[in-house]
Amino acid sequence: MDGPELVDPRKLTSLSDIKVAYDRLCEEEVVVGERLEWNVGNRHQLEAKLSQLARLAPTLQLVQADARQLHNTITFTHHLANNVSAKVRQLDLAKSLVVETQARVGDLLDLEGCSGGVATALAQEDYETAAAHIHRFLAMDETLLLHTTDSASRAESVETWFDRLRQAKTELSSLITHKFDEAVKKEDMASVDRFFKLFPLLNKHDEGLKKYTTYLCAKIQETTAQNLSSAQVLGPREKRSHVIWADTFALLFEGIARTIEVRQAIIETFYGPGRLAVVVEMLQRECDRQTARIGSEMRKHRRLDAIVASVRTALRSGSGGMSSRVGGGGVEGSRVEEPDPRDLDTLLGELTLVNARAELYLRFLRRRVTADFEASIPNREERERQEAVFESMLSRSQLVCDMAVVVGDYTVLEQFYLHQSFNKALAMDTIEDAANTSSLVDDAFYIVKKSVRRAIASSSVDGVCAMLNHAVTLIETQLAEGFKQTLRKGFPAQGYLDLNQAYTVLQSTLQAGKINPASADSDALRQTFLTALNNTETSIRHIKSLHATLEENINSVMVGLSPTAKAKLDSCLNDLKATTGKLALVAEFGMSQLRATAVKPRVKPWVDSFNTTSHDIKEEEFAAYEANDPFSQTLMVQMDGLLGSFVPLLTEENYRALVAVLVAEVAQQLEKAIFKATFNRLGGLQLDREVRAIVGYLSQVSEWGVRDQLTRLTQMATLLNLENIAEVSEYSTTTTWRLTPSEMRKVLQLRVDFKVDEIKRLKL
Amino acid sequence: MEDYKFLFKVVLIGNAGVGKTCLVRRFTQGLFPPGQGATIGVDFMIKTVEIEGEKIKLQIWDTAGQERFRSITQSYYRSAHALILVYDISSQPTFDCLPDWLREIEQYASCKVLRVLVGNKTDREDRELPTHVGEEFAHRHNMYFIETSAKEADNVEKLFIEIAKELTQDSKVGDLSPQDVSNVPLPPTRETRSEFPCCSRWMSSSSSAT
Repeated sequence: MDGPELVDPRKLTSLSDIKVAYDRLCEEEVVVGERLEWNVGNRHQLEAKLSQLARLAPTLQLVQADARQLHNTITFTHHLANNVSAKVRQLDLAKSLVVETQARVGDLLDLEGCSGGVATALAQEDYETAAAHIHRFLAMDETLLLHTTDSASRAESVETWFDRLRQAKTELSSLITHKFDEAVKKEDMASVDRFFKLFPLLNKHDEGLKKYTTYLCAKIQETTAQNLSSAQVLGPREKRSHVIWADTFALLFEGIARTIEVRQAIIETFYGPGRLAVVVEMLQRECDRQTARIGSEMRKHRRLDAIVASVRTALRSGSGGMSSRVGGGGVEGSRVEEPDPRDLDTLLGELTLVNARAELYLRFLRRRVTADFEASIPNREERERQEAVFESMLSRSQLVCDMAVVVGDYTVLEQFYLHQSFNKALAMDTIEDAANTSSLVDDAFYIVKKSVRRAIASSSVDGVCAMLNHAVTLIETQLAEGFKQTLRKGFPAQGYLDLNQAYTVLQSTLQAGKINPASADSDALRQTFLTALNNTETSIRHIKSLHATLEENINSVMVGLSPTAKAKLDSCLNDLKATTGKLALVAEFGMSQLRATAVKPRVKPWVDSFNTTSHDIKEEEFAAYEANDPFSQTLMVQMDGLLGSFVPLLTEENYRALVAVLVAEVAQQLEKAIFKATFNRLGGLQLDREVRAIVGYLSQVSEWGVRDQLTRLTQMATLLNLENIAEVSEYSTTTTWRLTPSEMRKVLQLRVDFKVDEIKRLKL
Repeated sequence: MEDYKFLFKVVLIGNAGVGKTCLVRRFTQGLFPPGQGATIGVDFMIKTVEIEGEKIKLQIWDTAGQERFRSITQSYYRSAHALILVYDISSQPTFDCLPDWLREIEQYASCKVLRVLVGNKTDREDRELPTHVGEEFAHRHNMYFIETSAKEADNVEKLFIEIAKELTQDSKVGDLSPQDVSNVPLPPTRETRSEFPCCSRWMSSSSSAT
C-alpha cells in the first residue's frame, strides 16, 4: 500500500467518496493490526536481540581505540619514510654533483695536459697524440668549464688553454690535410692511411672520407687508363683479344670491389659502421665515368654502333631475310655491310660477358652495403629507407643505364643472329633418313638453344625474356606455320587407284594448286608431307626438353632475382612451353590430312568386300568359310601392309597416331558395313569369328586407349551371335553397353530370325 | 595457386616520357610517382580485376620508349592481347611519331590484337592536341581512343577495365565457336575487329567525364 494518504474529511462530499475512504481506513486498520500482532508475538526474540546489542557496545569501543592507534602509527611511518627518501634524493644529487665536478676537474686537468701535450706532440710531429688530445678537448663542454672556474685568474688560464687548443686544432687539421695531400702526391700509401685515421679524431669524418675516396677514385682512374691503353694496343691475335673489352670492364669492377674489400676494415674501425654507402656512392660515380670511357672505346673498336645500325635496318626490311643480303651490298659505300651471323658469335659472347660482369659487381655492392646498414642501423624502418635510397642511387647510375644499352644492342644482334641462322638452316634443309625428320628441326632448336643460353649467360633478365620471346615467334611463325603449309598440300594417295581414290587425289592436288601427273613427283610430295608431320612431332619433344633445360639453366645461373624479375622470366618461359599446343594442333591437322587420303580411301574397298559375302548362310558355307576365310584374313593382310609401309616413314609417336586413325577408320566403316548386311544364326557366328580376328589383330598393333573404339564392334558381334533374344538381358547384367538402346535394337533387327515385336519389347 | 578465369597480356608502347609508367603505377598501385626516371628495358606488373563477377588477371608490360631498347620491347608485341599506344596531348612530336609506332605494330603484333590509342596528361594546361585530332587518328586506324590523366587519376581505371571487358567478351565468343583447324590460332582470337565501331563507345563517356 502506498504511503498513508491522509484524506481530508471536508472533501468527502458524496456518499461514495465517504465509502471509499471508509474502506481504505478499514484496510489500513487490518494491516496495522497484523503488524502489531506480529511484533507482540516476537517480543521475546526482539528483546534478546536488543540485549545482545547492549553487550556488544563495550567491544566496539575497544575496536575504535585500536583503530585510532593504528592510524597514528601509519601516519608516523609515512613521515619517517618521506624524510628518508628526501635524504636519499639529496644524497643522489650530491653524488651526481660530485661526479660532475670530478669530471670537470678531470676535464680541467686534461685540458691543462692537452694544451701542453698538443704543443709538445706537434713539435715532435707526433700527430696521433696531438689528434688524440684534440679529440679529448672536443669532447669537453667549453662554456660549462668556464663557468666552473670562479676565480678570475683560473678562468683566464682556462680561457688561454681553450684558445691554445682551438688554435692547435685548426693548425692540426690543416696540417693533416696538407700531409694527406702530400702523401697522396707521393703515393705513400702508409702515410695516406695514417692521416686518414686522424680525421675522425678532429670530428671531420665527412671530409676525411671524401678526401680518401677521392684518392681511391684517382687510383681507379689511373689503373683503368693503363688497362685501356694496353687493351687498345693488343693485337688481334693475342689470346684474349676477342674479349679484351669485357676483360677491361672486369678489371675495373674487380678493382673497385677489391678497393672496397680492403678499405672497408679501416673505414669501419676509425669511422664506425654505416659509412660504407657514402664511400660506395662516391666510388660508383667514378665507376660510371670509367664505364663510359671503356664503353665508348669498345664501341669504337668493335664498330658496335655501325653493326647495330646495319642489323637494325636488315631486321626492319623483311625481318632479316636472306633477300636483304642479295640486294643490300655496296649500295651505300660507307655503311657497314650486313654481318655474317657467324662473325657475330664473338661479339655476342663479349657483350654478354660485359653485362654478366656488371651484374656480378652490382650484386657485390648491394650485399656489402646492406650488411653495413644491418650492422649500423637497428631500426628496421630506417634501415629499409636507407637501403631504398641506396638502391635508387644504384639503379639510376650511369653504369646501369650503360649496361641496359649494351643489353639492348646485344638483343638486336642476337635476334638477327637467330633469324639469319634459322634462314640458313632453312636453306640447307635436307631430309635425314635415319630419323624421318629433316635437318631443319635439329638445327633450329640448336640455334634457339644457343641464343637463349647466351642470353642467360649475360645475366640480364630483359635480355633472356626478349630472346625467349623471339624464339617463340620463330617457332610459331616459321616452324609451325611452315609445317602447316606443307601439310595443307595433303598426302598424295599411293598405289592402284580406284575411281574414288583418283578423285580424292585430284582434289587434294588441286587444293595444293598444281597437278602432279608423274608419280615421282607425288613420291616426293609424300615424303615432304611425312617429313613435315614428323618434324612437327619432333619439334614438340624438342620444345619440352628445351624448356626444361633452359629453366634449369636460368635457376642455376641467375640467382638472387627480385620477385618481379622471376615473374617476368616465368611468364616468358611459359610462352615457350605453350608453343607445343600450337604444334600439336598442326600435327593433328596433318593426321587428319593423312586419314583423308591415305587411310580412308584405302580402308573403304577393303571393308566394302564384307558385304560381298552373305552372312545368311548354311552349315556347309559356314564350314567352308572356316577353312577359307572370305573377309577378315584379307583385311588384316591389307592393314598390315598399310601399317608396314608407314613404319619406317614415321616417328614412333606419329606411327601410334596413325594406328589410332586406322583403328578408328576401320571400326567406323565396318560398323556401317554390318548395318548394311543381314545375318542368320550361323552368319552371326561367322561375324563373331571375323570381328574377333580383326579386333585381336588391331589390339595387338595398337595401344590400350585405342582399343576402346573396338568395343562397340565387339558388342555388335555379340548381339548378332546370340542364341535367342532372351540372352540380351543376361548379357546386360555383365556388360556396359557402348551402344545406345536404339542402336542395339537396330543391330538385333539385322538378324533375320529375330522377331521385330520381340526386339521392340526388349527392356534396354 | 591463384584462380582466375582469363589472363591477358597488355603492352604499353609510345615515345619516351609520355607517361606509360605513370599510367601503370596509377592503375596497379594508385600512385603517381613524380620524377620517375626513364624505364629501362621492360617493367612488369600484375593486377587482377573483376569483370561481371569473374576474376581477370591483367599482365601489364610497361616498355621503355627509347629507341635503343626496341629489340627488347618489340619481342613482346606478338603475344600481346592488347596494345596501348600512348602519346602526350601537350607534345606534338609524340603524336607525330604515332605512324611509326603503327608500322611497328603492323610488323610485329598479331593482326587481331586489341589496339587502344591513349592521349595522356589531360591535366596539362598547355595542350597542343585537341581531343578530336586524336579521336580522328584512332578512327582512321581502327583503334579505340581515350584521353587520360595519370596525375589526376582521370580515366585510368576506365582504360584498363574497358580493355579487360573487351578481351573477356572476345574470349567468350572464341569459346563458343571452336577454332577452325585449318587456321592455327594466334594467341588472341579477335575476328571482327573491323566491325566494331571504333572509339565511339568509349569516347562518348570519356568526353562526358571531362
